[in-house]
Amino acid sequence: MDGRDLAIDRISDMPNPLLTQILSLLTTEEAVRTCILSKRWTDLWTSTDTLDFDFGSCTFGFERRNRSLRFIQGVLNRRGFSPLDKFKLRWQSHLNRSDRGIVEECISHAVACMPRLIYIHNNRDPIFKLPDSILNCGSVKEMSLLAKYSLFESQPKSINLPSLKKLEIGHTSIDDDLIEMFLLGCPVLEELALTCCPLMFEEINSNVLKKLTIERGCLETTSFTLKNASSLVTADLDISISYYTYYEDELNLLGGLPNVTSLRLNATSRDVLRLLNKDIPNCLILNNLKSLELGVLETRYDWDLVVCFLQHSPNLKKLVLNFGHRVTSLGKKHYREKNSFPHEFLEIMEIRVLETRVKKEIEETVVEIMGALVKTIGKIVTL
Amino acid sequence: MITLTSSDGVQFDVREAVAKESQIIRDMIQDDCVITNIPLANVNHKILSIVLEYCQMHVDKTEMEVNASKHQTTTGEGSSSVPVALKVSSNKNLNDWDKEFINVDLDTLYDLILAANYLNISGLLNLTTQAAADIIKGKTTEEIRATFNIKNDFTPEEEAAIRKENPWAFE
Repeated sequence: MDGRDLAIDRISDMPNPLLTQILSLLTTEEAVRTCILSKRWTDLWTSTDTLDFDFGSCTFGFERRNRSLRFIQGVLNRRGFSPLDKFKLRWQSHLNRSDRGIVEECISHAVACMPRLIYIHNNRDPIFKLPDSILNCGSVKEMSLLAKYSLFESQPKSINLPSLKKLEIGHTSIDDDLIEMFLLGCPVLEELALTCCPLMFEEINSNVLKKLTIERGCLETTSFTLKNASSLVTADLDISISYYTYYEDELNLLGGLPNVTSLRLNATSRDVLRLLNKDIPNCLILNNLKSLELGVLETRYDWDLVVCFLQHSPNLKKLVLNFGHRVTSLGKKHYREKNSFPHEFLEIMEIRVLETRVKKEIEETVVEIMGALVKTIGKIVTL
Repeated sequence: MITLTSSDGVQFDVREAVAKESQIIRDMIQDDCVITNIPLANVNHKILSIVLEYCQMHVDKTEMEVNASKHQTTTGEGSSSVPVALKVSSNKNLNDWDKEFINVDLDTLYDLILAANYLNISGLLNLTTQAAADIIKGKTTEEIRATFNIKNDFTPEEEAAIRKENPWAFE
């Protein structure tokens, strides 16, 4: 006997709000296609509060691209302007001038539905222009804008995002004017993430920001300062410098993080470490700092920075040290002979050394040096 | 302690914090603070016991984290405090636990969605509706019908009409 004929269709009996909630978790393409399951499903997708146009990998080729554009237009026409919670658009292929117009119009349409969340990930150039309305959207609380080279064709005329709490900008160069416009235009911004951005600005000045993430940031200015960042609690800074630095160049970080509790400082070029070293005299007492990750350490001079943090953060509990693949002399004797301890107690110390012939040796040296710097270490983990 | 009675008359004694994972129970307790027995007309004992397992786990984990962070701020020297690593890993474990927890048959999944909705437990509702969406993802129309026993009640003409109405959806 075939059990399937007897089986009941329970999902179709569920109340509409639950079904639309399930459909909201699908891409819009998947959600729309449920309209031919049965009569019960025909119009359900039109009441979802999410638009997720995921054309990340399938917009190559003329036919597919046009199909995708027709799909977006069809969905928006059908939905009209009913309120949106999330609007996501992932796009990857080249667009000619008229196609760009269509995409820009669609973005404007979605922004007019007052979404709470906007994701626009555009991985190609030439890119479509972001309509001004997206930077003046009163409802958006969370926004992520990624583009291959630049988000904006020209400097935006105005930025006014009064509800924005969380912003990610990726793959776009940011200069002084742009960062200032964003910080002034987003008065309640709590989290800022800059991902793979050339950093062409000299300072971040915000007293509302709680979390700052710079992922693979490349400094292109001769001085960089964190200013007024008294509200900053979490900082994750992964930076390199693209040019040859001069003696006068400056990195003013250590004096700008008075209340940070969790800090990751990943300097991926020697010049950044050199500038950080120069910044040591400005380091504040970091009473709140509990968790610190430092890298990429390679020479004995880098211990100065480690010692600086140990001295300035009396409540530090967790320390992670990353060592690069060009570790030369870590200078065994540099701190071992001193008999005072810059730091009393660490709960946990993690040592991460890349897999090399001398991995074991480096780990032993680090443990020995740290033993002279910290009186008690609860647990040592090597990775 | 609070007693919750399932639709089929089975009683469950749970801590107030566990029961309060449900927004409607939280509201009831707030309105009338002497309430100790709550009948739940829409949830049978089998589903209620699964729902309570979820609430218990999430309350335990949250309390553990609160304790951990309290320790960190009060013990200056940190001699007996819970390591930071534990706090991080407990979050990860909870996600793994959720994933394992939601690995149930379709009938149970429907009942859990309805119960989470009725009791207004947002974490459980998100988890269960996501599980349902994951089942739909990547399937053809025919496969979805087969999985959920959805009967195609369109005549061929009606289906053709719908496709024609929204040509952009089926190219």
